[in-house]
Amino acid sequence: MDVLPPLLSGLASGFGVAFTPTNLAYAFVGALLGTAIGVLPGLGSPATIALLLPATYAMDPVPAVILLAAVFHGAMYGGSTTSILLRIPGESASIVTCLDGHAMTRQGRAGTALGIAAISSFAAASMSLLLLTLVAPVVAGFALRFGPPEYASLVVLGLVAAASLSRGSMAKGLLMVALGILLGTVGIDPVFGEPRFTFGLVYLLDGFDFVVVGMGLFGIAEVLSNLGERQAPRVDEGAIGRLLPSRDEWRRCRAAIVRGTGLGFLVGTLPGGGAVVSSFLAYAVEQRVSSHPETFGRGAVEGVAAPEAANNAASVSSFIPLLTLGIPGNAAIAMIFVALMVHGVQPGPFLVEEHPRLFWGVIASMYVGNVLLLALNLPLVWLWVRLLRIPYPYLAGLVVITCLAGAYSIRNAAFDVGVMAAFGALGFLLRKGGFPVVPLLLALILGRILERSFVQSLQMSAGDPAIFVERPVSAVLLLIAAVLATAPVVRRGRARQPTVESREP
Amino acid sequence: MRSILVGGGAGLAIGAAAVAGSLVLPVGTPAQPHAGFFPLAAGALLAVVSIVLLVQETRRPDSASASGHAIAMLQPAMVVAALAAGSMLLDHAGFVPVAVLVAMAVMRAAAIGSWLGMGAYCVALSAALYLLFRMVLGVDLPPGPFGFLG
Repeated sequence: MDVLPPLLSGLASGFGVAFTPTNLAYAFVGALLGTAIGVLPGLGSPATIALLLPATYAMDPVPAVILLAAVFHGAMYGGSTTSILLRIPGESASIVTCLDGHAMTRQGRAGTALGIAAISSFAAASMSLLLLTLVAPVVAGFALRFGPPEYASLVVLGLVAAASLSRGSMAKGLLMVALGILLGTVGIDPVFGEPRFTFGLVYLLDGFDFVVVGMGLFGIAEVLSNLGERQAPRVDEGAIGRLLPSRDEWRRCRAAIVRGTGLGFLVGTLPGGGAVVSSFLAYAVEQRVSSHPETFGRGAVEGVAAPEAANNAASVSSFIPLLTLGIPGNAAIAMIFVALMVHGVQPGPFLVEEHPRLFWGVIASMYVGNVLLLALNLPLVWLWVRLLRIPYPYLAGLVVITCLAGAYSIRNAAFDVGVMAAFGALGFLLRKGGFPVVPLLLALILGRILERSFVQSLQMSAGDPAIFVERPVSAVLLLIAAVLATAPVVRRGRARQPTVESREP
Repeated sequence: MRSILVGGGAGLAIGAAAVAGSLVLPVGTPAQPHAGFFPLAAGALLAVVSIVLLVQETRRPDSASASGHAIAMLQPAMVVAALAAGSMLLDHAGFVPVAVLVAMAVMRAAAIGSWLGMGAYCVALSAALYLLFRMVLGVDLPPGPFGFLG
């Protein structure tokens, strides 16, 4: 157990960083803001992180990432409140909580549903943080042995997984990946220094700025999609009732929380997985293992506990690929990846050695944030419900002009505002057409890493592409990617095969 | 659905254009790729996936009858146009007037009630954001007529 002492000393130094008044204040502000964002439909955590990024430019990287990570976790907590009380999911990860959470509200058990959601979220995040603390340094140590071929294969796996796990068909996901890689090639080529697709525009020499693209695809597109649709919901502030579950309800929840946490933690580490997929999976698993599946959708406490545990566990574990491999797995984490890059910090296996204050400080601040979120959520339910009374047009105006200021401030270029508007329009059209946007952003970011690793690998092997399959880790990663990519075709083929019964006369 | 046909068609056109554009650059070989290799591969992948999507869609039994539903475009187009106009005016007119224009376009598109209340909110919001970014966060925004604020 010689890994434990450095791990504990790292965590202890992290708490030293997290408990400074400034960092505590940023964790608190992030948790509060994130919960508000989670409560409000029509503004997700990726958009909010993109909006806040310019505000962090003047800050040190540690408080900046603490703030953004707290926003991300806060949104997971906050999303459940309106799902339960009003059947309005503030975050996509809380959609499935509506089913049983709101059913409990209609039965006069809103307080219990909110209590179960908060306890499940807290317990899952706590268990996942422990796992993250144990696993992250080990993965980072393992990843130190990765060379360009392993990185190229890892990115390929990440992009295929993002395409296959996102909403819509695999073909749509792959189309978005290809478009993202293509858009990522705009600007000066990272290896040979040749300008590509810049059309003589100086501003395009650096390529599309990830923050500007993120603001367009998530902030502006979200507003465009909601125009004319969002009405202030009727808020019924009836009795919320008892918050703590009964002994019988608690007994039924415990196993659901553990299962949801395990599933969420695993899915959260996968690129494209994240909180949304994990919450739906956890709900499906819980319904399958339940001895009373008929109660699901009618106020089953497990139907609240499992998805809430899963989405919070996934939001914690999605930091593992970011902090240890430098690979973002979902849109919000991609925005935190960008924040690190903006502050001159390269996420990846060297992060723990080169920036131990940041690595351990961010992990420790997640523990602090988790406690803050539990303390903020239940006592302030009245405030979160009242937030929903803000008419959407006021919120939309705020979002759009904050994006305007944010996009301009990145390099004092009005050109970037135009780029943001163009990506906003693109994001809106893609959403309306049912094309997933997250793989596009991930491919835009990861495409550049892929190109560099790919060319470096071929330089290493004197042009022999066999290097990608001769190295065991790279070969395994490519094999998994191939299985993921071909799985839908195989499934369709099996579905078309006539069964023995149907062939018999 | 019509949106998939449009998306697939657009993907095919962009992919083909990217392939053509990358052939202008030095491409190299798969063993020794150069600047044009990656965009060529990405463009080709985009074109191939678009064709797969189009074929899948046209083979669907219900694709001929499905017309798809029209997307309400006027309000989003209004906001995008305001942002595009704002990007052209920003350096000359300054942040606050442009932000007021854009915010009013957004709120109008979102069908808010009175012009007066909307105008007051947009002016207050724009000025507050300008002060927040410039004074508190130290981020430069074009001052325009508000240069006297520092």
